[in-house]
Amino acid sequence: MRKRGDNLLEIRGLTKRFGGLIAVNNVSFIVKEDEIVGLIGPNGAGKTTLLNMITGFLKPSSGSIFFQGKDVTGFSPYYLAKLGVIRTFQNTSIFPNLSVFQNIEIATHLYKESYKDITEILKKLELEEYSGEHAKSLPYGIQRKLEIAIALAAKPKLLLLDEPAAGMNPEETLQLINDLRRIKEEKEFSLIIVDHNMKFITNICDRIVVLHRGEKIAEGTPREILNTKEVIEIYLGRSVYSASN
Amino acid sequence: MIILKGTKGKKSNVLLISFFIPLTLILPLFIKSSFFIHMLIMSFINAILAIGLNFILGFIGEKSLGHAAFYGLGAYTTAILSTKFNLSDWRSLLISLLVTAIGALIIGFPSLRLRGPYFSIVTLGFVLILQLFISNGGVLTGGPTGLPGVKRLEIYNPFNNNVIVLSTDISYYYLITISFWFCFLISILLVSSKIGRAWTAIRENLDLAESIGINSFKYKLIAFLTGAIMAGLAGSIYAHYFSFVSPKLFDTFVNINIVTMVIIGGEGTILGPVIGAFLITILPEILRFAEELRILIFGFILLITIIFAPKGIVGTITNILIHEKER
Amino acid sequence: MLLLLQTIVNGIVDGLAYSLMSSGLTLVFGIGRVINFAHGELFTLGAYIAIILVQNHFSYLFGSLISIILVGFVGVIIETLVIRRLRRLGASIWSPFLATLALLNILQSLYLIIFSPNPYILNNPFAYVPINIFSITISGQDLIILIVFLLSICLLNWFLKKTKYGIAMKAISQDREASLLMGINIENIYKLTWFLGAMLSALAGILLTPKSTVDPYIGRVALLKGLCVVIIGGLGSIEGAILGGIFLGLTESLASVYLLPTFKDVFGYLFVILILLLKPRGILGKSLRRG
Repeated sequence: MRKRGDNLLEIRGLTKRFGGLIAVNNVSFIVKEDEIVGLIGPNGAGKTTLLNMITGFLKPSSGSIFFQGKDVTGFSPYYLAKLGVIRTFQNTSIFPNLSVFQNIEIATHLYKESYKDITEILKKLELEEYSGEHAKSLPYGIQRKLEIAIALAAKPKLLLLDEPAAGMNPEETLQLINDLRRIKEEKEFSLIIVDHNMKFITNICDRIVVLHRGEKIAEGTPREILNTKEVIEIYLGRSVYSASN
Repeated sequence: MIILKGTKGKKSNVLLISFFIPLTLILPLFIKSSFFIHMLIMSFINAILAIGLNFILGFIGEKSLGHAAFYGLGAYTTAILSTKFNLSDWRSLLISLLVTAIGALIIGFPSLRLRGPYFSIVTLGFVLILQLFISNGGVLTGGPTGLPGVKRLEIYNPFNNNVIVLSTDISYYYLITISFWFCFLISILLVSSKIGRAWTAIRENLDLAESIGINSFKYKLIAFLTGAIMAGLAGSIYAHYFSFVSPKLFDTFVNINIVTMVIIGGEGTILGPVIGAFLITILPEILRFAEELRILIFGFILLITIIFAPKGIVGTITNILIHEKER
Repeated sequence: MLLLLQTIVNGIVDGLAYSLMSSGLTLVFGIGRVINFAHGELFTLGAYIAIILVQNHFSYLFGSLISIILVGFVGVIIETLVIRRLRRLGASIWSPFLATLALLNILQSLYLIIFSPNPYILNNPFAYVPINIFSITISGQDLIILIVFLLSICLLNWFLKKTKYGIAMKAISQDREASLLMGINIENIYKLTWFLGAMLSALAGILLTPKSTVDPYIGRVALLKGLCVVIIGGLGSIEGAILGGIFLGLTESLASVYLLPTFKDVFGYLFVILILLLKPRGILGKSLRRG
């Protein structure tokens, strides 16, 4: 049972090996209630692998995952979703041949949905005008909003977004940040955002965990991270860093 | 025509069904040709098979190539119970369905974790193994030449403590028609329920479905099991009707035939498999095709359908209607 | 002891036949990502064409060569007219196999109509000559199969590793998008793949049928055995096809002698099921990654 002071998510020594390759090496961190945590690192750092393990799509080679005090290591994705762990995917993940409305409707699978719930989410993400359209014919940016709408409709306690800002120009990214802030205002849940866009992450996250080559090399507030020697070294010379500040 | 897409029931759907049900029931009064009655019986049997296969093939999207396994299991269980154990009533029917269900669980558990061609190949493997065992089952299963002498179905009449033996073709027509409507209504119920929505989600994007709490394995199993039991029912009735079963019931051709019915009619629709079944059963007879020509032509039709009209007859018509509405 | 040895030799010989049967299948899957259910019918077609040519006074050798090339072109036609269209339509990578299923029906019924179910015989003078090595017997045809198979594998290997096209094929099998970016003409490579794959199926048909007869149904066996081998050894891997084939051949041979001969075929399917449960990619296989 949940004890007071339990963290929402706790990862201890999580490791994933693919044959001889170690994708994630002994990573540990904590996510508290109502927090926005960023998971950042260059491509290949192991971010998505880590995310896949947390959400049950990959079984860890070793280590454990605790959600609300309960050991959920190795649980299936659908079971974790039942517990409140919801995610989005890197590649646009929608139900292509269904309408926007139906997409969100399906996401209410775990509970008794009401028409009101669905329209609420449509409103929140400004998708009302697209309600009847087929998901696959939506413009890219709207599709990505739909992804988040679907995830929201599943009533997450912990929402993990996989590269939500990928393929977005600075304008769209700003809008995304505003959307996310607005959503978080009304509902209480924690957010883990995986991305490699420094500017985006530092602008919205309360705390950041930095991965490099599968290992956690830094953790702290955005300000602390931006001033950490190792982080600067990794990102120096890459456009993602020069854009921040 | 919403019934074609299987969304929530509407008045027009109820009207449609309430017209067709009595129509099929009074049909025998107008048809004197026993050949045509036989055609209708086979059509309804195939329709039940196609509806059952459609759950896993059309709604979930996994192309099972082993559906005939359950048809054969139902038929053979009934046949064996009737010829070896002298049991030909509701009890043997129930046992046949049970055996089919168990078979579906045995086949389903290993294979439903697989996807795409792997799933198809494994289901094909299972049905071939079954065929092998039946062919080599000696006296129990009648071997490769089949098992004749299946007795007629007996229905216990509680009113006068008597047993009614279904011996005429017409009695089997009614039996199969009632069974068909039963299966048809169940398919409507399932598809318009949460289960049906989960199936659609799995077909559209399995990972996404899992990530929002849908246990894909459970729903795949429901689709697989329901379809299998329906096939078993069809098989049992067939055994009583035809009085003869053979390993050919499991044949690859039968499997591909049922798949063809579903795809040509329209996979993932409710009416599609029914139309496909009737077309493939009756058309060759009307046009008097020889056996090999039949397979050739349906092979072509299947190919053309896959390339040019992948949604099948019902799916394509529904699409056209929707586009008309949106104008 | 002698029985055991003979059984093993038979098993290996049969196994090589199975490997030959499945090489076309695995090539098309490895590169084209399609499981060609009509593979068995191309196998049969090779045999039938060879028979027609031989009956028309072509030599066995010449007739076989022409047959193989002709069937190769049939493969290209299938790829161009059917598979490519489905690719363009954006059908999932798993749906073309239904189309090949339809082709199976079409071809098999064509054979029934044109050739009738009566068995034909494809013969060459060397086929039935028994060869004795240390009192183990194999037939002349077995030896031919062994030699031709080894030659083909060496040729294929050289082709895949040393020629421009072969390397392109390997590239596509590993990463389609990257290959496109490097300017590889994917459409042509797919055509080439189907050409080679169909040729291999036809070659198998020509080499293996002297051991029995030719009728419209032999394709089924070729397909089923081919599928078993390819899954056991791993879809897309030629080495896997060889290992898988020998493994299956040995198992069947031993089982039929020391267990029950009637259930020989069951082993193939059972292994398939087992392997797919434990190691879904087969022993050496490629993954079915989307896209």
